[in-house]
Amino acid sequence: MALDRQRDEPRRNTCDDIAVSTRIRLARNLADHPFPDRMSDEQAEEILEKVSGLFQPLDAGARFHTVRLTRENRLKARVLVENHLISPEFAGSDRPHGVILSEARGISVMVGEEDHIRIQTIGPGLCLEERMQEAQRVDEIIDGGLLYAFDGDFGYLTSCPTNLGTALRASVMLHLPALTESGAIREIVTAVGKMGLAVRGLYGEGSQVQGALYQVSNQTTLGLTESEIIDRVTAVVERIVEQERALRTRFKTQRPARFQDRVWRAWGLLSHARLLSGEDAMRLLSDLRWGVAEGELPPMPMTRLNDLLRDIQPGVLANAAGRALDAGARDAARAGAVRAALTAT
Amino acid sequence: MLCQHCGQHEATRFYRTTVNGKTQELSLCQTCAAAAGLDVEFAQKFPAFLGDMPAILSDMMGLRAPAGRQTHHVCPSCGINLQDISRTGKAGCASCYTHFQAVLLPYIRKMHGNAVHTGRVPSGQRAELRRRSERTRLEAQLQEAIGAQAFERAAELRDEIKQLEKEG
Ligand SMILES: [Zn+2]
Ligand SMILES: [Zn+2]
Repeated sequence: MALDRQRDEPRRNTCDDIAVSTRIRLARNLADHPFPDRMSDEQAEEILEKVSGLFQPLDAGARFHTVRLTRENRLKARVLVENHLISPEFAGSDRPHGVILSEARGISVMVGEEDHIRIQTIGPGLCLEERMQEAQRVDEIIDGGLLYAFDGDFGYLTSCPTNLGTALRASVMLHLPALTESGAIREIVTAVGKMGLAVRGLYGEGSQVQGALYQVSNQTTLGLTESEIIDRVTAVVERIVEQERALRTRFKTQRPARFQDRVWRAWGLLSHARLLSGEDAMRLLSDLRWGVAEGELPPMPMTRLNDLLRDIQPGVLANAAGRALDAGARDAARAGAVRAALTAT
Repeated sequence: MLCQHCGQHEATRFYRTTVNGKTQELSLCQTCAAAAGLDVEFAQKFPAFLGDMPAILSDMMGLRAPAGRQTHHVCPSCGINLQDISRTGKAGCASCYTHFQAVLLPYIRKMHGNAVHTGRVPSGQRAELRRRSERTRLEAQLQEAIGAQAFERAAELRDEIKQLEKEG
């Protein structure tokens, strides 16, 4: 049973045994307005109105809706952060700010972040090209109604010079337990850095990388076209995926008992634990994902495991519970969410 | 405009400073700006965003005034000064990239290499680029028509150019 799994073509194409999610971000500013750091509250309000107005007539298809973030709805903001729809800095901003969302299409348009407008599209697995096209459609909606700050040489003008040019950040989150276990991840980080890309670990409370999750993204935004950037990131991600697969195979064949014990132990703990700390959950879910991807554990859709990474976060748990949770209640709710996901069919 | 320091070369670097509440314009050639530590030194310090601005500004003011005066170098559009840009690593507005180009350019080069934008262009700019090349084409035709004494055609072309300007 464990060997008959649906891990063939469609899955290999998006690399979703290893690639967790893809994110495209385009930074845009309006001409004739100071950048957000130097805007008045009135200007911030005006820009939010203007941008969200452009999405009103389109409501039907993508169900775009605007969420204004205020001090009163910090929990809402936290949930959006844990859903990767907005950045933590944006959630904490004191200016009038808001986000235009289409959850159905994985689109968020932050208005009033470091730049006036941050278009973001996310999706599961490795899907840079498709997410880029979606981001460009959103870009065209705004471009059709408002005048962007742009320079022939510097491209899209951004608050921070690191984002000039295309103002595009293309990133893929990868699950790399075997590269982490072997320590080879360190060489990868160095090698990728030399190619003008960055690898970041997702850090939790401590300095330990959480859940063997890493984000690979482009650093350079000026001088390359959008497709060149996408191609570069895709090529690097595919090479990392290959190396992770090779190491996984080696780990599995050289120490089969150790591999099996590790992933089944995670399965056992996650399906029965009554209290789970965030750190334990991340570590065990990493092993579980590894076991499922390698076909050792019972098959389970990767999207469900991706959703779990989000559903065990404090804000999402509190939101689901409908009330603030203390640490004990949170750990209990987290264990409950994990058990529910593992027993669902 | 000639460089205010050496008076020999064309000024290509423009700075605005406020000394004791009085605003002064400072126009320098590339060499003098570099000698003042404006291009080079700032570029080296900027990446860390820890630029020792007072020292740099006093270097600059050393060109024309004794050190120790209060100086500010301000973007005319958004009012940000170099200290703030250096401290936050962020420009204040789109015009900052024109106004502070002399100091930002070496930093941008260091970050992105010797690159210019090759990616997408906003639709507004696409129209502007089209208009510009259309205008160049019409003006060439106009010169031709005038040369050939085809005055009726020339009048038509003038109208077309006027129309194009109205659209812009
Ligand atoms: Zn000079
Ligand atoms: Zn400015």
